[in-house]
Amino acid sequence: MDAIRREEIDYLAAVARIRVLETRLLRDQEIDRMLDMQVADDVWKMVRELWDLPEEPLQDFERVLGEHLTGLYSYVTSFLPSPDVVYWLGIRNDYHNLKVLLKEALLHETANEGAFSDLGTVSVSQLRSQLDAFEEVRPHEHEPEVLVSWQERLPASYQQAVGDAQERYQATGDPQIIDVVLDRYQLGDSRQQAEVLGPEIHEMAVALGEMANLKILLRSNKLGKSLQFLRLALVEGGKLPPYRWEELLGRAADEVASSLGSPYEELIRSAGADPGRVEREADNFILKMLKTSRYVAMGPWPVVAFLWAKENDVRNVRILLSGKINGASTEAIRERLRDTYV
Amino acid sequence: MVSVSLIVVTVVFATAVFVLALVETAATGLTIALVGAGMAVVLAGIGSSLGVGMAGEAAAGVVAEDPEKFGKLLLLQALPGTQGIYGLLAGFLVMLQLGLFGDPVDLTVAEGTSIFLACIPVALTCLLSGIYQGRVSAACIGIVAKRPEESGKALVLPVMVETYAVLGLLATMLLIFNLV
Repeated sequence: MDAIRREEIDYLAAVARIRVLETRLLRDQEIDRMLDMQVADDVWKMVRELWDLPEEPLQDFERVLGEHLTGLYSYVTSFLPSPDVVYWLGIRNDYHNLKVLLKEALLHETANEGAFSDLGTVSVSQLRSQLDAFEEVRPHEHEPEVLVSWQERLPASYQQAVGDAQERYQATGDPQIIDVVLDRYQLGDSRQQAEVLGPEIHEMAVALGEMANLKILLRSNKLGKSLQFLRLALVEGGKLPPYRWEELLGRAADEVASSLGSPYEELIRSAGADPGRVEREADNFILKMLKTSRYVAMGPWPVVAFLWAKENDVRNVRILLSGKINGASTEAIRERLRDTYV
Repeated sequence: MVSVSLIVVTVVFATAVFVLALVETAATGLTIALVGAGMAVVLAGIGSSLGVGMAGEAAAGVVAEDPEKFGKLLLLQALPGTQGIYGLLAGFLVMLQLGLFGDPVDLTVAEGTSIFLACIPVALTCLLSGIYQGRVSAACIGIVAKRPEESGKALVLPVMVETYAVLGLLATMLLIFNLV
């Protein structure tokens, strides 16, 4: 990633294109129409028409949506003055793939192909080979980066995360620890790399860390997790220091809400203690933050907002289609849907 | 925007040095007046080319996705181009007043310097308003991209910046007419 921040003006043409692409994002009325449809096939047909997707059967919707998103990412990257922001968004997918690969290796299971994300900065096959060679390559880690080919080893930031996750898994034997440790590293890594991408993107990275801390605190309170677990999971560098979160361990959701104050209070109150709803409200919080990009005429912020909003749309379509396929009620599906960006 | 301040500081400094050099080398009043006319044309032209360039970049982005909006975007891109025309007009007026198309007027160094200074309002207002109008146009191209039905409003915003280029031209014209 370039250390030098590009001039916002370099993004003029890219932002203009993004404004046109934004008109193709899902609107509330379209979501309502899909919700009113009785059959999943009709929803799929409408999505295909709106997004100009190939005429593939409903059972392949996951693959088609994945390919659509991958295609859009590479299309947007093609007209950006620098791929920095797309790489930044890809970090979380790299960590997701690392989680799946690490669990494969440690639990001796083979993961489903669909479990991997194609939107990472490093391909899954390359990550797999880097992870296989992890033990052999590690002794070199004190040497300068140039001495070991980048293809043979994990990027330095991923190496530390994987090493930590492995050690903690070996000490506890709990596979969940892999997710917790890698999530913490991912959010920290994203926040650090966002520093050169502009204040809005950095603020978003910080907010993502804060939301993760809130979710982990509420989950720990619900499941009665220990302080040690919470400490392991808490992301540093947010607006609230870790000790503020630690103080709230074991408290009721209401107490946590009034103690944290705005904006967490509103979020917790509207979500209640239900982890699924907290997840949804946290996503909506980030989406609300992204909406400020609509008033920005240049710079990378509208690009990040658009790509995030598109992923949000794809997530909503997945929720709608799986809900309809499984015969869930309209209300049950609506409760799980995220807000729209447009 | 660092680059704009840099352009202005460089231009003002270079011009001051140049005029001092002309006065020192005992150049005629006519030469100094013509440097003023040239400065009006060149600086206003720089402002316009930067502004039209910025708006054009944004417009190209929209046309790449939606070619049907070309007509609406063309007007927004052309708006920052007027500053260049104002600069040329000011330069032409100076040349006309000095009788360059017939018998050139004989000017003292003081008169030449006055005409040079009279060209500064149009030169600087057009340089800056051209750049900033380009930025506003580029931002308004986003309005046309997202809400084509609001393109009328998108046109009004960059026009507001135009006011100051017109005022600069007006000041220069009044000064030239009263000086010669």
